[in-house]
Amino acid sequence: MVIIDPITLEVARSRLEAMADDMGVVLRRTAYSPNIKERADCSAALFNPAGEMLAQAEHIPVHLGSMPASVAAIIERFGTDVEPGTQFAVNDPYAGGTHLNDLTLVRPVFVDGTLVAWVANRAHHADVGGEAPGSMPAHATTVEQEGHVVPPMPAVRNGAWIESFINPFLAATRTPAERLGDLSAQMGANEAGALRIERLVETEGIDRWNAVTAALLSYGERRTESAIGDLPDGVYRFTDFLEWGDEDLPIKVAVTIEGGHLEADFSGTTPQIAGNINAVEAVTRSCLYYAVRVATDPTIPANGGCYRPVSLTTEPGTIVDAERPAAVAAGNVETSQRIADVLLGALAQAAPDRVPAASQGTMNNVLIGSDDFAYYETVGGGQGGRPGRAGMSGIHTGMTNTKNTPIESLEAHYPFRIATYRLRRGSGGRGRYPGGEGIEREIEFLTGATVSLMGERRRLRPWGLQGGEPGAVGEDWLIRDGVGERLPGKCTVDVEPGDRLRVLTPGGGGWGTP
Amino acid sequence: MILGVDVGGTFTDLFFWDGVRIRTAKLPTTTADQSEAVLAGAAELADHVDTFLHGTTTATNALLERTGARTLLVTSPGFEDVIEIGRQDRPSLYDPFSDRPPPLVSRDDRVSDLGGLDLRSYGAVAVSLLHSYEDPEPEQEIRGIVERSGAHVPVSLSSTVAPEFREFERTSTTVLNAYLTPVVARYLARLESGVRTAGLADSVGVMRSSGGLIDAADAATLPASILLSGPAGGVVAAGAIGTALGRDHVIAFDMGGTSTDVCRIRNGRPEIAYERAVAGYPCRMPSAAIHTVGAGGGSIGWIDPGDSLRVGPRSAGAEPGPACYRRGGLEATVTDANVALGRIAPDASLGGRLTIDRRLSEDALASLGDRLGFATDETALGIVRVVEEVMAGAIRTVSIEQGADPRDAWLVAFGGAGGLHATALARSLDMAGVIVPPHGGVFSAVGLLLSPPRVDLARSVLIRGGDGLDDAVDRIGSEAEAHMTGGSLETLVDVRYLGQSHEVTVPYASGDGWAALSERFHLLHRERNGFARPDDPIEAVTVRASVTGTPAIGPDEAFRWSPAGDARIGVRSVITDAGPAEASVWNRTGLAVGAEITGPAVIEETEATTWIGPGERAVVSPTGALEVTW
Repeated sequence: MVIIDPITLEVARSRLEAMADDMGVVLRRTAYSPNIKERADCSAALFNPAGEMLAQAEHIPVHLGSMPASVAAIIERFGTDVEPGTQFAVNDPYAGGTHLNDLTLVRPVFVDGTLVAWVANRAHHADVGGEAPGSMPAHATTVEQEGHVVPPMPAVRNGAWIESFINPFLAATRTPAERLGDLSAQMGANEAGALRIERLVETEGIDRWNAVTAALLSYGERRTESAIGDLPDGVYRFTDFLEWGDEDLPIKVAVTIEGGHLEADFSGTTPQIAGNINAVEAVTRSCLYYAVRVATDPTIPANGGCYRPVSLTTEPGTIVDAERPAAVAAGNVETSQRIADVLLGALAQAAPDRVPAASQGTMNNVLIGSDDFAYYETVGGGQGGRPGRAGMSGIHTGMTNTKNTPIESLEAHYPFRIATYRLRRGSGGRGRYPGGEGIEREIEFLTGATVSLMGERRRLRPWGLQGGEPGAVGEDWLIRDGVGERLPGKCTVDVEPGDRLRVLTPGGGGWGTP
Repeated sequence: MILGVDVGGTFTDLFFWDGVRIRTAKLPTTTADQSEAVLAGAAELADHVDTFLHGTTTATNALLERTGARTLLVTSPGFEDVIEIGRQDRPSLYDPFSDRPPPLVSRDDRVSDLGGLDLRSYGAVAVSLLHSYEDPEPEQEIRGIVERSGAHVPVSLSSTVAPEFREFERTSTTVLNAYLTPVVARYLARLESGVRTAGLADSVGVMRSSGGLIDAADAATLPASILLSGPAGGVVAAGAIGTALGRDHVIAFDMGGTSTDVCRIRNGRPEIAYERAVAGYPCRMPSAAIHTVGAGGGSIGWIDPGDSLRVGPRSAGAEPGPACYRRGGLEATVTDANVALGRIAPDASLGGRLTIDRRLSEDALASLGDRLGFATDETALGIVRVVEEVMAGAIRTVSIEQGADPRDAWLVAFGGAGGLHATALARSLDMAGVIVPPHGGVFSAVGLLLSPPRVDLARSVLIRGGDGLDDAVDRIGSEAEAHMTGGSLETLVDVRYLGQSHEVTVPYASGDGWAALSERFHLLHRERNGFARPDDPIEAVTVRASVTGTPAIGPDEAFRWSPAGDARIGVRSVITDAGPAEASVWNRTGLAVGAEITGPAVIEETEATTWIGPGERAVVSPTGALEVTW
C-alpha cells in the first residue's frame, strides 16, 4: 500500500483542481453560445472509476451535486467495462440530468487498458426543442413537452459523433449550428481532461494514482466531518412554501446532525404537480451540498469525500424528488432556490453565526420575445442580513450567479429600452443587520412582444432571523397609458409599443431585532 | 543622463544611466510621502539629469487605504445605483460573508440633478451618463455647471476618461479616476516641484499601467491610467531582455515577498488587458495583462484541518518577516525553507540591512514538521513543492488559458525569490528555459528607462458592416497624434460575433477595409478560442489608438555586462530533490560573459539568489543575463 503524505496530498489536490479548471477553460473558450461563454452556465469535473468526484470546476451551485448523478447514470447503464474512445451523453432529468437544457458528456479514461477515471462536463444548451423557444414552456406538464430527452447513451466514438445521438438532437433544436459548436466544445474539454490524466497516471503509475485519489477523498471527508462536527447535534426542522397560483406548496425538511454526520429528510413535502416547478432529486442534492458548504466551511475543496458524511432522504413523487413524466424546467431555477432556503433555515438553528436571513429566493426570470428576437434575463435582489453585517443589495443569491447584460449592449440589440435600473430603496427587511435591497427595473417596449415571467416571493416575504423583519415581496407591473396593472409572478402577457414592464425584486430578510 | 525611480511597497529602487555607465540604488520607501525617498535617492546618484522617470504606487495606495476624495457621482435619472449593482454577481459562490467592495461613492452622493447641492463639500465630481460614449455633450454641460459654480472641484467625465460602452465598467473607471485625482495631483505637484527645486530636472515622466510613460501633468488628471503601473516596469524590462537575447516569447515571473506577478510577452510587447479589476473595482484602462497570486517568499506554511500542507496566502510580510529574519517570526515561510535547504546563504545579509539566522528557520520548520511527521528537510522541500505548484498555476493562467503554449516560452525570473524557483517551475511546465536578468533587484526601475512615452485612447462605435469605421479610426488616430507628435501610431478595433459579448482586439489601419478586418478577426479568434465561424456576422465595438515614442534607452544599453570581483565563493551543503549534495557557490557580479555553471549551484547577488538544480546549466550572456537550460 502506498502511503500518501500531506505534501503529496496538497500537490495532488492543486494539480487535479487545475485539471478540472483547464477543462472548464477549454469548454468556455471553445463554446459558441453566450450562455456558456459569458454567463458561464457550465461545469467540468473528474471522477474515480467508481464515480466519486475528485475535483470540480463549477460556476453555478446547482451543478454541485448533480454532476455525479450523471456519471452514476452512465455507470449504472453501461457498467465500467466500457469501450475506450467512447463519450456518453445524458440530459434526461430522470436518469442523471436536472433539466433538459443541461446536457452532460461523460468520458472514461484508460491507461494500459485499465479504467482509471471518468471526466465529465455539463453545459446549458439554450434550446433543446420542445414547445417554446428556450425549452422552458411555462404551461408544460410533462418533460416531453419541454424538449428532446437524451437518455444515457453513447454519443462519441473515437472523436466522431454517433448518428443515433447527434441526428435527433440537432433535428430537435431550433439552433442546430450553435448546438453543434457547443457540443464540440464539450467533446474537446473531455478529451483535454482525459489527456492530462493519462499523462499523469503514466508518469506516476496506477497504484500511486489510486492511492492519491483515495487520500484526496478521505481528505474531503475528514474536513467536512470535522466542520459538521463543530455544529451541535440535534434535529432542526424548517418549512417554507412555493407559490403556485393561490396555493402555497410546502417544502419541509428535518436536518439531523449527529457526530459529524448530517442527514436531510424532506418527508412531508408537497407531491409533484402538473406544472413545471418539479425538481428531480439531483437538484435537491445540489441544494443540500450548497447549504452544507455555506453553513460550515466554504473553503473545503468540493470532492466526493465531502459528500460521504451527508445524506439525503426524499419521498419519490414529491416536488423535491419528481417522477417521470413531470415537467421540471422551473424546478431547476426556482424550486431550487426554495429548497436551499428551507435547508438554510434549518441549518441557521445549528449555525446561527454562519447563516444569513432569507435572501430574495428567486431568480426573477424574464423572457421577452417575438418572431424576430428572444431575450432572457434573470434579475438580482436582496441578500439576507448576515450575522454581523447587512445583506448585499442587488445581487444573485442561492443556486445561481449569472451576470446581467449591460444596458448599453442590450439596447443596441433589442427593441426595448431600460427606463430605470436602480436599487429598490427600503425593500430590505429591517433588523440589527438589515436585509439587502431588491432591484427596480423598468423596461419600455418599442415594438409588440410576448413577455413571460417566472418569479417567486411575490406573496410570501423572505424571512428574517433572530428577530429581524422579513424583506419586501417582489412585484411585477404592466404600465399601459400611465395605468399600472399588477401581474402574477408567473404569467405570459402580450405587450404593445409604449408599454412598460416594471419588475421589483424581493429584498432580503433582516437579521437580529432592529 | 537618465534616472528612473520606482517606488514599491517596501523599497524605492533607482537606476541611473549617464550615457556610458549604470548605477543603481535601493532605499526604504517613505510611506507617508513617497517623494521624500525619491528625492533623497535621486540626490545620491546625480546632480542633474536630462530625463526623470518615475513609477509610483500613490494611486494604488490611496485606493487600498480609501484615502481618496469624497466624490459626487452624477448619473442619468433612474440609474444612480448602477455603481452598486455592478453585474449583479456575488464574489463567492459559497461564502455569504464575502463582500463586494463597497462603492467609492456613498448612496447620498449619487445624484441625477445638481440642484440644491453645495459642490464645495466634494473633493471631486464624476459624471457618467448612459450612452455618453456616443454623445458626450450632456456630460460636458454638467461639467460647465460645476465649473460655473465656482467650487473649483475637479470633474471626471466618463466620455473623456473611458468612452467605451457598458455602463457599469465605464462608471466604475470614471469614479476611480475622480476619487484619486486630488491625491495623485497633489503628490505629483509636490514631487515635480521638489525635482525642480533641487535642480534635478525640469519635468517628470510617470509610468502608466500599459507599460508606457505619461507626463506628470497628464497623469494628474488621469490617475486611473497609472493605477496598475506598479509591476509594469518589470514587465517592460523582461520583454527587453528577451529582445536582447533574441527570445521572442517570454513570461515575466516577478516573485516578491508577499505576491508574485506573471505576464506573457511576445516580441518585446506585453500582452495588454483593456479591463482589469483593482481591489475589486473594474478599471477600463489598458494595462500590461499581469496575473497576480498571493504567494511569495514570505508566504507561511501551515496545516489545514484535513492535515494537508498549505502555503499562503497568509504572509509574514516585512514585519516580523520569515523566522530567519530574527524579528520574532515563528512560522516557517518559503524563505525559511530555502535557507534550510542551503539555497539562501546561512549568513546572507539581505541588501546589507539584515542578517539571517539559519537555526531559526530550522526551528520553525521542525515545529511544522513535527505536526506533519516529517523531518526538517522534508518539510522544507514540501513547502517549496507546494508553492511551486501555486506558481505553475499562475503561469498556466497567462499562457494555456489564453490559448498560448508555454513550451516555446522562456521564463524571465526576477524579484527577490524569482531565481530560487524559476527552473523547477519552468521544467514542470516544459518551458524552453529560464532567463535571470541582470539588475533584477531594481528591475522595475530599469523598465522605466526602457518604456516609451505612450498615449492610449479608445471610443466605442458599434458598427456592423464597415460604414463609418474608417472615419472613426481616422478620428481617434488624429486625436491620439495630437497628444504626442513624432510617435508611431497604431490603431486597433475590438470586434466580436454579433450577439456575443466578448471582443477580440484586432490591429486595423484606416483603409484596410472590412474584409481585412473580418479575416484578421476570424484568425485571432481561432488562435484565442480554438474556433472561428467565417460565415457569421461580426460587429466592430470599440476603436483604439495608441501612439508610442522612443524609450530613453534601448535593451543593448540597459543590459551590458562588465564583471567585477571574484566569481567563485566556494561550496556549500544543500538539499536537492534527490537528497543532500555539495553545491558550488558563485558571486553573480564576478561572473564573466560566457561563464558556464552546472548545478547544483547557487549564484548570489545583493538582492537575490539563483538556484541551479542538478542537471541544469547556466551560461552568462553578453547582456549579463543567466540563461539556464537542462
